[in-house]
Amino acid sequence: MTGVTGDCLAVFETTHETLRAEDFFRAQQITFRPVLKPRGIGAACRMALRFPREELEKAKKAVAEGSLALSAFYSHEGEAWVIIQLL
Amino acid sequence: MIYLDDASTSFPKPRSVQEAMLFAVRDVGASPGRGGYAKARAADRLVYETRNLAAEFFGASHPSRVIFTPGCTHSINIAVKSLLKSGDHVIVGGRQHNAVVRTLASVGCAVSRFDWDGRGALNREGFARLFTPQTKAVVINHGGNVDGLLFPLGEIRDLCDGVPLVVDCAQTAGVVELKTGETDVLCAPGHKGLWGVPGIGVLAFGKKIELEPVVFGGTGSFSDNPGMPSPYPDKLEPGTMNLPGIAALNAGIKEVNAVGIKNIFEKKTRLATTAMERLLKIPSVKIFWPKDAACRVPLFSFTVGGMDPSEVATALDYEYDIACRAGLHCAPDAHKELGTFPVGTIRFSPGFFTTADDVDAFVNAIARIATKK
Repeated sequence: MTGVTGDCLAVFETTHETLRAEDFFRAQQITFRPVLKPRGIGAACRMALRFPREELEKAKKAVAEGSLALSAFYSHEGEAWVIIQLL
Repeated sequence: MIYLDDASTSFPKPRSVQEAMLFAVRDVGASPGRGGYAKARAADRLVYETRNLAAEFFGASHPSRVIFTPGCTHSINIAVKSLLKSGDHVIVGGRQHNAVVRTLASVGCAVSRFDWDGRGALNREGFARLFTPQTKAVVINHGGNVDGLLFPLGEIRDLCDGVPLVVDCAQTAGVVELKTGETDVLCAPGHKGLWGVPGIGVLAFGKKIELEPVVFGGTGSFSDNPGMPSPYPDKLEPGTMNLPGIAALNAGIKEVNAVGIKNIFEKKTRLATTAMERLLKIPSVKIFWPKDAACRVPLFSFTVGGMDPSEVATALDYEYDIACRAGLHCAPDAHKELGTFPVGTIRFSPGFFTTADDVDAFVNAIARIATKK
């Protein structure tokens, strides 16, 4: 993943929601990059926000504060992206 | 050239609108929602910001329920075809444009007309009596494009009793202040009062309304699904988006906000009122504009004696370099109500950039044309 760090992904329902999420992630001072959704987590095309695992709690807070239409959080485990189950 | 056809398309466009289009074409270029690279993300951002801007402008329930369409007519098509099916009943009010008339005809629903010409109070009981168990929508033309009749939305909204209210804001978006909650579905063009360009329109709707696509295609999302995605706005925005149009709309709304809708309305009304008062001094001129100033948008129609309106418009064009639209204005029903069908009228629709000198030249031209007939 050249130039992109972080082993968590946030995927949202639409491009509009992803862009809204960017605003809320910035407000939480999360270090993130918008990236194309990697293979293995559904159809390609859409964007996702990639960020470090240690910022997951802040990401959850951003989602809650923005009432963002989140599809799922993913964690990079080995070669696969695995859904993070939210309690 | 003196341009007096703002009701068709506003002209001239603010410089910022022209520059915004150039920026979209020259500096952004890429398609929104169709890539992860920097230019595509810049396109995404431009669409996103414009959607938020439009949502705020119209007091929309949520930005994701603000849809960019190819125009107000397309917005009306989505609303009508989503809410109504063959056999349903719809109530229409205001001077209807073919954007509504033909769309309703294509659906095949039963139509009841609610007549009100701007004189006296609304017949609230009469309106309430039109509802049946099959009534699935009320469609109102907020501002008539022939005689400028302004329909009182707030009063109508209160009487709909849960039936969705669809409002055609072709002549009022950017001209008349729209209050949040006055509509369930709002349809607006980008190229008239919002000072954008043709090819972009807005469809904004409330959280209780579900709309269906009338055109299908790629959205850059859920690409493995043969159906349209269910989340808005993707559900209603198939195909490559009109980024130059969206950029222009962005700049246009900002210009309208900077000037203020109240100032725009007042200036255009002042120009139209001056024109009307002076035209009325020409004996053969007949004006079609509601008498009550509270019931009108700043445009009106007129006829000159027994002259063919197209003859008058042609004379204005060739002899005086003045642009006015004549005929039925895509609103035959409005002309039937006004008694000007099938010949139609000449329409005077000034813009914010029209000057008092323009109005002066226009009235003098009509006076000369009327004398020569």
